[in-house]
Amino acid sequence: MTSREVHCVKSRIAPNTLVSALKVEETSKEWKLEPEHEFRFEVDFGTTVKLKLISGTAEIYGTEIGIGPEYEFSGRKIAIFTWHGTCSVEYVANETPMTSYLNMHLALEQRREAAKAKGEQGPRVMIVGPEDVGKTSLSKILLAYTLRQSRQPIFVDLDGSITMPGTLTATPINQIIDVEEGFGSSATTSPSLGSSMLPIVYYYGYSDPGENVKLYKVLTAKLAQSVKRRIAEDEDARISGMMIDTSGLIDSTGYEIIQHCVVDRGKVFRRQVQMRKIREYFYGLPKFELSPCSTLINLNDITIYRVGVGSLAPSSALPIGIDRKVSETQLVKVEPDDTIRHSILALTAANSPDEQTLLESNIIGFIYVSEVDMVKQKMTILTPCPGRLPKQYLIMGSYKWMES
Amino acid sequence: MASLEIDLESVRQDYRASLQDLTFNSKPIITNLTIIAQENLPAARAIVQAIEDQIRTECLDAVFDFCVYFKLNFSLYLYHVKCPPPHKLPVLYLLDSISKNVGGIYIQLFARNLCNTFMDTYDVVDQPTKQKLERVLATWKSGPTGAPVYSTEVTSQIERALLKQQLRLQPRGSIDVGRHIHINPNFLSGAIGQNTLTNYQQQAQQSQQNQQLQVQPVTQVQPVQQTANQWVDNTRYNNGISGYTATPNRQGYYNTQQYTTREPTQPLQQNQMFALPPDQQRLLQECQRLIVQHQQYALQNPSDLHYQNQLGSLQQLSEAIQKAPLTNDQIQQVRQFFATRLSVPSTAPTQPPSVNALNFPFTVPILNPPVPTPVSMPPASVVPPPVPPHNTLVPDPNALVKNLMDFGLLGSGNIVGGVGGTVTSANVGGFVGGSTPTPPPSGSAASDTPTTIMHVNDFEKIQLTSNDIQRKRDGVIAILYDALPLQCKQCGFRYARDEGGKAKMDAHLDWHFRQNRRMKEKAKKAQSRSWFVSEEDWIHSREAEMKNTQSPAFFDFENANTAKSTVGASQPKKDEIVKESTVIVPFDPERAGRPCTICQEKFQVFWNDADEEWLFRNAIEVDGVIYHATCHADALKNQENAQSGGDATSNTVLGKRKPDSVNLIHN
Repeated sequence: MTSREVHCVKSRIAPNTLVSALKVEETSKEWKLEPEHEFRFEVDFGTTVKLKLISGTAEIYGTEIGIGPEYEFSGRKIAIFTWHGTCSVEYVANETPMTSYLNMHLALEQRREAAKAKGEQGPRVMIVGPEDVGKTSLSKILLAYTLRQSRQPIFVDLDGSITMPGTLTATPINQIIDVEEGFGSSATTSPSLGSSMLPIVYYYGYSDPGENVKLYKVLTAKLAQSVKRRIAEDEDARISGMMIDTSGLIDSTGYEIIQHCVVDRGKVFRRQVQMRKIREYFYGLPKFELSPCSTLINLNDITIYRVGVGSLAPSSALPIGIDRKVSETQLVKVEPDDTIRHSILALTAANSPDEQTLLESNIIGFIYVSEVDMVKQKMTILTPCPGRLPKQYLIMGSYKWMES
Repeated sequence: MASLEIDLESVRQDYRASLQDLTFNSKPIITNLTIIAQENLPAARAIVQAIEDQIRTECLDAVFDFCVYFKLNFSLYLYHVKCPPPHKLPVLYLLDSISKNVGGIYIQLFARNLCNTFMDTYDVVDQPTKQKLERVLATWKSGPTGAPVYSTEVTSQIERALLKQQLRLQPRGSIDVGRHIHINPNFLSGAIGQNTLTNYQQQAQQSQQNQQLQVQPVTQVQPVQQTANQWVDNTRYNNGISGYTATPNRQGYYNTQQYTTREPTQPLQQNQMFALPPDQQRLLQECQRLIVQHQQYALQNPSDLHYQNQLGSLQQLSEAIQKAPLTNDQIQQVRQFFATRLSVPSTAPTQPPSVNALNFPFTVPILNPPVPTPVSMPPASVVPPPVPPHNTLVPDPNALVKNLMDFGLLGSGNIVGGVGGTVTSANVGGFVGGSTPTPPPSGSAASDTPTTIMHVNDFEKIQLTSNDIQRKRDGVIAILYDALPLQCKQCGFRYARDEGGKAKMDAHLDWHFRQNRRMKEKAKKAQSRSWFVSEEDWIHSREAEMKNTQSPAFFDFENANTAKSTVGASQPKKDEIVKESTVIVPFDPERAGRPCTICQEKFQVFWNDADEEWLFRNAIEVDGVIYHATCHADALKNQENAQSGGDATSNTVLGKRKPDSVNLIHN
């Protein structure tokens, strides 16, 4: 709770939409927004801003917010947009792309209606572009609009914004997107949270797809297969179509080009976001706190693998005939030792150590390794919920986290 | 393995559905359900869970607070709450029947939670039922064969609880009694909730009187409300407000069909939190008179949508008038609007709604929304309303109300009370005035939206080119706002005002209700994220949210998720229920400082807002000694296990009892 910066991008006097942002330990401020204007602010990590819509209508990333309730934000970039308000004569040129988004939505909605009439597949939208241009925001907006139309689109997220970083997920969006949680940032099946999104999760383990393109392709193919199977059964989802959010440019050459342009601050911010997501996975948000469970497990109860990285295992541990040099999708067994401390491990749903199964297996959850005791052959882990680990095969990615 | 768990879940769901029928003491149903239980021994866990869930008292305080806060009708909401007290007894009979006829694993499963289950029922039923329950308990101690059905540990625990209950009820009616015994926090807050409700009602009544609305008495006898009355009467702590009865005009959210047939003024009388100035009252009366006239006209000419549209907007307007204090200017404007637009001959404002108005000369339907005359407008809005509906939007009642609002009629000073009683254009056509439940979904209202708001397909097909995408179009915004006039007060989500939309809205409110309840529970119970679903489950699962229009099953979601994670999933869940139990921190500091006698660890203290008490988390008080609820449960379980070493034999004993015990208990 230190610095409290609220950047107001646009604030003009208009009678209709009143937004008040109340900063902790400070007095509240009121902003009046003209129609089709956006009010953006950034909340630092460790700072909380409360926001309340006093009158008019407003939406945050496409989700309409109600009049009265207070919304709390921390460590987020927020944009509040309003369509209504009194139409002013000296109407300023539309500076937000929202009209385009709305038209886009209308166009998609028309295609959904057509798909419904013919019983076909609804529109599938993939949002591509360089990093930090607002792909996820656009996905959010379009999804929220689709949801408002009483549809159930599927959100395919190749950017890891739904749950843990480094995941590829697909989530049917059927419940109002919680503006405070951020869209899906803590999507969960936990009963306590505001959003009750039910994602299917595959673990890639890196923050950018360029690090292991082959694995990325395997997983996206698998994800696509699952989604296809679901929409074959789920008519609502089929008609509503899907929204595919990508992470930066998938094309690796293009990726290299764009990498130079990425602002450093963005990276820092993204890193913070990732850390926050990991924390959120276990502990939830201040408003919806979760209680993870710290457990002591035997090292031989579990098996940890890495995908396609230089072998950490001694040669003797490798199957006969396998070279030390491993291919991109080669599973490498990781001997648990001190190096895996502070790692995030993904628990696969696989029941056998078969490479193909394991590689394509979906993820049922994540654990955090807080301590490894080589002498006792035990490991202290943080699990999201109590009870013993339901499965035994774990995948290790590149993510490390310090529990603070 | 996964399939077995799904099966369990589906058994639980099925059984839960069957339990819905068990609302009276019906021997055939109980027998039937007992047989089902016997046939599904492998799914015993699921069945026990279903039964316990069914019996479990819903946190009344949560319901109360929720309803009061959102100004919903408590009694009707209660209807959606799981198991009304009169229905509990038969469910307990079922439990009894299964215990005696099937026994075995069921005994073990029920025993874990039997005390709570029993007491939950006992707490809320009336005296005769209480006696019946005591008889059931007696048969548990010595069944038909003489052997106890449940171990003495379990029955004596219940007996102790009963004793405390009786002690508590007898001499003192004050909340203080609760300090010395283990008391379900619900008791206390239930009483608080009542108080709140009473105050609130009084307020509502007063304001009604102030307004001297000429409202015909509403004839309604709702079984639902009777239930509620009974509930309240039977509540443990009456706190001197036992005379409370739910007044009939607390209209509920759910029986909206009433509006279609009743006079339009009826929904208007709810939740009025301020007294209207005389001018405004007259305006309101005028407005209501117009409504009556319109209605009658509409009845005569059902095909004429214009009048029905007008009617809808008038009703909204009238609600709006009641919700917000208006300035004289604004009142004048409405008057003017009435006079010019509706061509209503000015009658004395005090004239009651007249039946003669049947022949009201309606010759000039509004075909255009009123064009604002700049002169009479308040300074706030010197501009025409946004998105002027040029084309097919002409007879849009929403636009009409909206225009009125845009005039500044409701532009300023419209915040009423603290709880979101605001009227703005956000509420166009929806919850005008916020605190009111669904506006009249009468024929008029239902028929207006589709004809007026442009449908997605009404627009020319948008080409996915950057030019076409960037072009501004009129009326597009309306598909996200005006076309969806039912707005949730809590989160702002909107639904269409048609049958489907209303059902979804109801489901949505139920969802909110569950969420809020969980938020409350959070204080008592640690929540954690469950494992993600398996691939197959994800592919085949359908979120029940939108489809589930039944009464909320509060524990569904947890079960649905935990059941999938591990075989032992229900075990942690049971533990969580145990953990929920709390004890009020004793006044005696020496006693409060004592650790749990089993594990010697200190208790965690937390403040419970609802009860306004400091509570020990995960604690249970047994014979004046406070234990960790989990420690105590474990200790009990160990004893139980030790006792039921000869479980196999007792099984057969129970099994033999099959034929007679059903008769014995249920007549």
